[in-house]
Amino acid sequence: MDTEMILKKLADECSVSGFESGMCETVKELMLPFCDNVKINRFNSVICHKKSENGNGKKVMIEAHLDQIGMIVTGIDEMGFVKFMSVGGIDKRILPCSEVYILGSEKVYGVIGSKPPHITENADKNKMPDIGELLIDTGYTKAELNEKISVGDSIVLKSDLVKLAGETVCSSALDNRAGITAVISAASQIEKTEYDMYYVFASEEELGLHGAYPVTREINPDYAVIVDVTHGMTDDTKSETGVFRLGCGAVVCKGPALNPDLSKRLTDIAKNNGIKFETEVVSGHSGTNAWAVQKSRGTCKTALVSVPLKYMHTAVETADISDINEVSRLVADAIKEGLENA
Amino acid sequence: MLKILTETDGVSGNERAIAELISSYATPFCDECVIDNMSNVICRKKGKKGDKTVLLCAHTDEVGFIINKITDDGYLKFETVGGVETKILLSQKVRKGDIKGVISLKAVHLTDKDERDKIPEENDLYIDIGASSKSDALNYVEVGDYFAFDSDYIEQGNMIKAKALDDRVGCAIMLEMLKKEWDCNLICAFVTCEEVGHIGALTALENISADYAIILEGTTCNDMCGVPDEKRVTKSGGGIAVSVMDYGSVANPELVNILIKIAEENGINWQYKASVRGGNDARVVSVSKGGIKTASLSVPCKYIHSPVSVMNKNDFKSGIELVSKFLENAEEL
Repeated sequence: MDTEMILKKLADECSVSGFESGMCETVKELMLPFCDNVKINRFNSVICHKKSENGNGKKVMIEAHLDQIGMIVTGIDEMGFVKFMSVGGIDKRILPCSEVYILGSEKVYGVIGSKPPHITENADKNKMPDIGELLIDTGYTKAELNEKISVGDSIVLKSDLVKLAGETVCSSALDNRAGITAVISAASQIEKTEYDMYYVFASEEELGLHGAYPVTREINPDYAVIVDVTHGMTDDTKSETGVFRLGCGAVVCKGPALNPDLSKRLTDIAKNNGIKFETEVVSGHSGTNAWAVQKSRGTCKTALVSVPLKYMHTAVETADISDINEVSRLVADAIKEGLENA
Repeated sequence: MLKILTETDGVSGNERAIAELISSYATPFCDECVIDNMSNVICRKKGKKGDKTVLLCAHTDEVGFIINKITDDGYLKFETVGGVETKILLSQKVRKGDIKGVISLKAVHLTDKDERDKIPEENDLYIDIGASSKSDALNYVEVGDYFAFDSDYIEQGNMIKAKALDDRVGCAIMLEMLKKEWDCNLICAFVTCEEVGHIGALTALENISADYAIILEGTTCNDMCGVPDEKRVTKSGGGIAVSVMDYGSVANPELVNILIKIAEENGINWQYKASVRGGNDARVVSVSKGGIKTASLSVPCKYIHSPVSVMNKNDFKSGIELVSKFLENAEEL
């Protein structure tokens, strides 16, 4: 299945944490050809079940979080400017002169304004504004806006999927569209398996891994492979560890919160099958659903595989399609060849 | 037309494409349309009577970026061209023709509090075009290349958002004026490099004589809650803005009064530009040759010098109406 095509479909949807229902339907539609049934649970997590061939297989959960960071409307001022706060860890430095969509009863375009150079006082010149100082300008009056949006509506950064050089792509919300794409693509490569497969897309990860806890308890998996994004190497991080050059392949995580046998199994499969990979080390909380899964079910062997992503939590998140493909290949091959070492 | 004008790139020093576009629109309506060595476009139109000559002037260039180095890993270091604040540059998209790039820094998760509060320095920033190395990047760009903001034209309600409203809005008003016949002679000068020191205008003026000149601009509009009234400069929807003075010139009071009188008599929405900060080509036009009576009319543009400048359609219309009425009456002044 074409990676770019999946990414484009996902890019048309908005899924701010807590507002994932539209994306749930899109993911369900993309996954139906590759599983036996799809359900959306009470917490807006999507659970796609593919039964094992022999009927008594161990349960495997492959998971990628469904939600994206965004903002939420907190008020409309007298001049019709929209006040907001962040949902998930949005980088406040990116907000001045950003474009957004407010998802009310209508989709309303807006611009987050910034005072111009001609006017800025010397004191203000040295500080990045806080979110509370910023306003969204839609061009509408307060009365006009009240017909279209309400306090509590979600707001996303506008960003269409753009191709850069080579196989690089850029968009907002590649965290975690890149992960979702890798999982859907992996599912498309798995026809029959001994395992009882659960492809899960959990909600509200950006708010604190909320969706992962209930879904793990519901499924009670024996194995879990979480697919997310990790930090891509940029010009200003080239001498740091824990960042990965785009094009390096799948990033397999090792650390105390992850199962060492399963992590090793993944890197062994990658080596044997010529899949490009790197190893990431996290000595504590990985900041991903892997932590939630391991905490909910200590008996579940959990691994984490990530797509390198530059400029995370901005409107210009950048990834390499070949890395997404390596992640999906690694996950698919691991299911096909077995998750235990021979 | 404003859509195509703003979506065509022309950073100061790289205006050829926008000059050719403007020339293609203007030529059918002029007696003479010339693109000079600076990519200025000078259009001349004889009047039906032709005793007076009016010069309209707008600049074609926009703020942007010029590449000054390619790193070993294929990132593009740059300098800003014209007044661009680095405060607005994180998470922005830029382009050179079909080649797209992004400006950003390491992810917020990798920063400490001081880094998050700090306004980035220009020499810390870089453009990422997705190249894997310097030699890969050289397939697409070289040092000295210009990049513009990658921003499309959007209309919503009365709002128009685009890059380069400063000063494609002035160019659009002038192109409208060229479409009609006037009693007075009309010269429309679409000049370059205003943002970097009025270089285009200085060149163009060597061959221009006029009785009156009106500079058509996009100007600052700080019309938001929390901004004191006296610092708003102009109000969005408050009409075409008439300047009294700026950093480089004092508007000719006689001409200013004529413009205000015409606006009042014809019910055209207008306002004063309530600040003397900033400057435009009036500073060179007014002192050219033996001096020309010069004034400036500006369309209020919020978030000027950014990829998301915003104007009110009605202010644009007021600008067209006022300049039209002035040209109708210019011969009799």
